[in-house]
Amino acid sequence: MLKLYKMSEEEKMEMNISPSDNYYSFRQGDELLGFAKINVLKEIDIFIFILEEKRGNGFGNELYSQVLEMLKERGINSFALMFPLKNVIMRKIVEAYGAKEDSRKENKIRYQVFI
Amino acid sequence: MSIKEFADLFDNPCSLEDLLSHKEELLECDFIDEDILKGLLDAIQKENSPFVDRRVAIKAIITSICTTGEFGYFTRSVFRELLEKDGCSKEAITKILMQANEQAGMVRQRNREKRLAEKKKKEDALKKLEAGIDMSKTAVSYDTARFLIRNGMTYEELEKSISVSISSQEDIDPILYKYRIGTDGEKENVSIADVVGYDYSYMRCGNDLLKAFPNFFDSTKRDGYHTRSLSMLDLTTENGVRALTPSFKEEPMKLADAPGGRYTINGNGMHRYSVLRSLYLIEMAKSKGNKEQEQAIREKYTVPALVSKIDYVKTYSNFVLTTLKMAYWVGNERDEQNNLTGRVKVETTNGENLFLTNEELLEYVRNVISTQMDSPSMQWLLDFDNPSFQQFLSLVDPKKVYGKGEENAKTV
Repeated sequence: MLKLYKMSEEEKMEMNISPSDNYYSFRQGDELLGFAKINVLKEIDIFIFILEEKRGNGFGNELYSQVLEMLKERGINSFALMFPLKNVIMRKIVEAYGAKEDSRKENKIRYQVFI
Repeated sequence: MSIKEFADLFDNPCSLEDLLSHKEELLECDFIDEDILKGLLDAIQKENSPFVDRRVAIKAIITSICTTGEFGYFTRSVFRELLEKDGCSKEAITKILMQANEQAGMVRQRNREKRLAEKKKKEDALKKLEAGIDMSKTAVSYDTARFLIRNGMTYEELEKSISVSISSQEDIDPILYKYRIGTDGEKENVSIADVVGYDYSYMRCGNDLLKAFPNFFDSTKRDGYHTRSLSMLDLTTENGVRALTPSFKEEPMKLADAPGGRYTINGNGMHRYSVLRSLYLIEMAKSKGNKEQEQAIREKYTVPALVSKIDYVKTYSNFVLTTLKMAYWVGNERDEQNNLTGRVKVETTNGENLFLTNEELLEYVRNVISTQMDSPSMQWLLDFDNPSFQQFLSLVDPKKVYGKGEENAKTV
């Protein structure tokens, strides 16, 4: 089963991640597939990442879907999401979940996500 | 018209034209299928009788049963009516209908076996061709080579006859690509001839349509994305469009428009596009410059899609305001249902959020330009050699000719 697990302070230290960021590891059983950052206090700041050798199996879709679920549980039902314009895979994932292209600026693209 | 009324038409001899004049009336009935009615009328026509009466109609039905094996509700009901009117007893009618049913079954079975035999013959011929694929002599993957050979072509032959390159939005116009503000997808019929490519920047094998196939179709991989559509590579120029037609209604391809009446794939449809575009190119290569055939091929490969269109005013305003660093972000405004309002939201660098219609946006851009005329960025924009952008500048302020002038401008 694919699941998000909140990373402990020690795990974050090991990976040189800021202690104030909420990071999650994305696993299938014991197998690590990727990571997600979900910060919602000041502004919505999300980042998802699938390990390179695990890509191409639909894990990105599932990870994004679970992140949206988490946001919905925290009462968030819309936000703007921005990432590099060249990240075509991310574009396909967010569009598959109903996000609509907002605009572009140089090398970045912004979507409006409604959960 | 009821079946009885149709049978009554044969009470008195009539011409075939009289009979055909009732066709529209008949097709309004739920139980009458156009193909079946056409089959019956064709059979009557083949009797070559100067007039059509009950005997001719009965003979035509019998001939139709023996050739097509069709003996459904409509044909059976008409046959029964005609036999009754011809004076046959109930027992005789039952016997005749049973024999006709049996005969129809045998004909259908024979036709089915014939179709299967033809299909097997075709498949065996294709397998023989596939066995002859020499991977040392082709620049594409085995899956791709197999797909091409099933369509009577090799990569090397196709590439000599017609361009197999694809273009991305960035290739077509880098500024529109980077600053695009567009509409949500709207339904439109688009010819694959005009869909020139997709964003291939993250893929192997660059902008070659066929060399890029392994990005979508790869029987050596195990994941769904590369294997779920392998059966599409069995499609041919004969059945490709027909086989994929239901998918366009269920899950339309998503396209983005580009200058020059072109489109690129924008979010959905890469697998189908790759196959259809290849089949289209194969047919075009085989047409050898015959203009009529080329037009027919264009129409054949016209499919429904969802098209996002560039809003040039918003896009170029985004370009100008961002380049002049007068806006942090420019984008579409959406309502609570996530629909476009038509206005644009400008997050200015002095902290304001403006919501502007296109007319208000042009006025805003005009005011910004007037304060920035001395800046190097403004000069760079004025010298930007793009007729579409120059046309936009003339919209901003028709009284001034900012750049290369209207003589170079095309309609935005």
